Amino acid sequence: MSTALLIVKDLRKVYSGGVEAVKGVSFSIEKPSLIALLGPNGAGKTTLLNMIVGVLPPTNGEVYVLGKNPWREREARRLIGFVPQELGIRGDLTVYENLVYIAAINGVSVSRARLRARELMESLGLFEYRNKLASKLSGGLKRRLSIAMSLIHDPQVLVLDEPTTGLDPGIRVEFIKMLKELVSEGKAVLLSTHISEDAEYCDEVIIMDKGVIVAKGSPEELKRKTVGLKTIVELVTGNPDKAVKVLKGGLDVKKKEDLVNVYLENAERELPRLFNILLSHGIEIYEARIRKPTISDVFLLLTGHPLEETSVG
Amino acid sequence: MSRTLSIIYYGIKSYLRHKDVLFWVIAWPILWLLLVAYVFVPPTGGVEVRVAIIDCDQGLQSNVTAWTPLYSGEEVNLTNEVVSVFKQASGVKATYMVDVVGCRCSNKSSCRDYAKGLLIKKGYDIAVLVPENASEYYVNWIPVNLTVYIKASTPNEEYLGYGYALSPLFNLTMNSTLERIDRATEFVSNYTKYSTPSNVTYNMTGAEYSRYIRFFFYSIVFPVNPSIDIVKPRTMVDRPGVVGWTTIGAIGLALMTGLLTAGAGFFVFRSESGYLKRLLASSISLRKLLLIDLVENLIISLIVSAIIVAVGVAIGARILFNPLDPLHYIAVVFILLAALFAYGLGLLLAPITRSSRATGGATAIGLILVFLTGIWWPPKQMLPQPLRAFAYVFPPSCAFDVVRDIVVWGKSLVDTLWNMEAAIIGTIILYVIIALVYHSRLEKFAEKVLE
Repeated sequence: MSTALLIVKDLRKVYSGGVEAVKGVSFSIEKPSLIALLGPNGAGKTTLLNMIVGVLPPTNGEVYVLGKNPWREREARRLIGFVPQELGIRGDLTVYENLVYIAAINGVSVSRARLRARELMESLGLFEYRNKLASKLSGGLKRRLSIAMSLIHDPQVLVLDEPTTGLDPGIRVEFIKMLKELVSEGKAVLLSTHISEDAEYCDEVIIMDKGVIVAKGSPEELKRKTVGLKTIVELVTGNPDKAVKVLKGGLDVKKKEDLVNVYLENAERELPRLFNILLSHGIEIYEARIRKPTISDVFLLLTGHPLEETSVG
Repeated sequence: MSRTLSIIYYGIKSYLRHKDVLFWVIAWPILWLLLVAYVFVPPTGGVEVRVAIIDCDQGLQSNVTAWTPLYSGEEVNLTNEVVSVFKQASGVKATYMVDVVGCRCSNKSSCRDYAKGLLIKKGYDIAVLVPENASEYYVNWIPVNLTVYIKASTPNEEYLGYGYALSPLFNLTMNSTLERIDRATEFVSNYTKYSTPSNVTYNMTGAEYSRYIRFFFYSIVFPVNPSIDIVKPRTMVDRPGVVGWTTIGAIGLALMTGLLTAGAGFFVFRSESGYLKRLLASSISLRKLLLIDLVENLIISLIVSAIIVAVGVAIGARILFNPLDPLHYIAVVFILLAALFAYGLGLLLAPITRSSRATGGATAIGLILVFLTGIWWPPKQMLPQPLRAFAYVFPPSCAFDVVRDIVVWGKSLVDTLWNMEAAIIGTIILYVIIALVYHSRLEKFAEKVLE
């Protein structure tokens, strides 16, 4: 078996109600890197992560962490650290106690756990809160504690389920930077998110929709492959549906909520022609913004619906 | 091993930090224990009965001397006699608080109104009217009519008041009757020294004749002499026993609710904070975790039991514990057995308990079982028949009876054998059922809760 950090082979999950949340997903992480699993709510991200870390048994398929299958060898789960969406901390224990407790659960010796807890508290800025009950911590500190708990047994792969949900944009960037530091320490970090900005900072993005992987690659690679060298003109018009209909003949056009996105190879040259077409059809143009493509655009082009829209499954 | 101990240590620590849980598991049973010890079996002796003696006789200080030849210069005050019989009647069931009040009435109707005022407005339970010249009549063997007023706001109060009032007055009547017989027959004895009455048909000495007359009069007073022997359940014999029984019951109350809830919440208590996911993702197996949780809860049971026993002993419970007597450790084992059963029963509910709120259902089941199987009041002997039969085989109830037999009643192992067998066999059967239900389904149940 390959010594890739993580291999996911044809994972599939059908819940008891018959809902197929994940429909045969495969990917691998070969080297330490920060990978975003991007998709809207209900895309199957949480189910996929739960199967990878050993929370939910897959209906089909296999997972290998450094060549070991955590579903066959329970000890292999020590190679993975998991931060659940709900954080998974015990509010009735202090920061220090939470760390030592979960270390014992993960089979770390008591003396090693104490040492490691101290290291992690210092590196994640939790040391001054070590004797504080976890329930009394702020949201940001709770998140840090949750990560510290996932790292206490020094795993090779860290899996985080929607870790940035509810965080302010500034704090989100800081948080992603912290995860990048873990990558520099030789760990693979796989995080699920429905926020496209998070994905922009990652080394690689796996786009997931309706239980399947739609695309995978670095953010730039994905943009180049899907949007190409085009510039995006974002139009606010009086009648977006009519605008899409009128422009569709000769241009690459997508409607995103009330906006009309037009993908142009040469915006400077093509803009006057674009305006002329719209005005000649009596469509008023209130605003026009020219911008670089984002991962959100990639998602829209690949799936046909915006990232914020909730899909089924 | 040190890792497992670390998990247990922090598990117990976190448990003891939950004030709401501590309330239900420690404060709530202790509250009930105190209630029983100080309200239902108070150390001062039962119910307080307030008695007003309305003295329409000649007043407490002035006694009356008899003019009949049978009393030789003895002084009597009937009001004092009445006060005395009530005070002497104070005991385990009731404490009589007796006050002598002045006579503020002149006829039957006004006396009734006066007594009514004492009962309703002044808070007396019983009023006894000692009428004018009562002492004089009494000492001269003329019947005295005492009127007894009983507060009867409810039928129950009427029933109890009747009993509380008549019992001391019956004693007064009986004692004075016996005294009169003795005095009269003594009189007969003295007179028959000199002549045999003409109606005596066969030869008798004066003393024999006197004894014959005494028994004759006794038989008029007690034509049938029933002797009443009240047979109570051992639970109610004395206060230390009652409080001791209740102390073990309070442990039952704590464990049957606390551990049943802990078992039922095994999945949901962990799933709602995302902790179950973290545990499932760890290298520890759910089976081992369940075992650790069980050990954790058994240790908590011992801590809770020790606290409740300490409170019970402090308020007068009879708890016999000799560290050198191995039998007394068997009592501890049976507390653990009851805890094991309660946790197991909770585990059977765990797969269908989908939220923390739903564990309230388990607490309710625990409470119902505690009250209906003689673990808590009422004792199983007082339960109606179908429930009594169930209580006699319900394993935790049997386990707590083993504990009571050993540490409250000081019985031997042989005397409590049936309870031991029922508790052990019942618990084994329960865990066989658990093994069948959970066999290879533990992870599936967890998955269901996460779904």
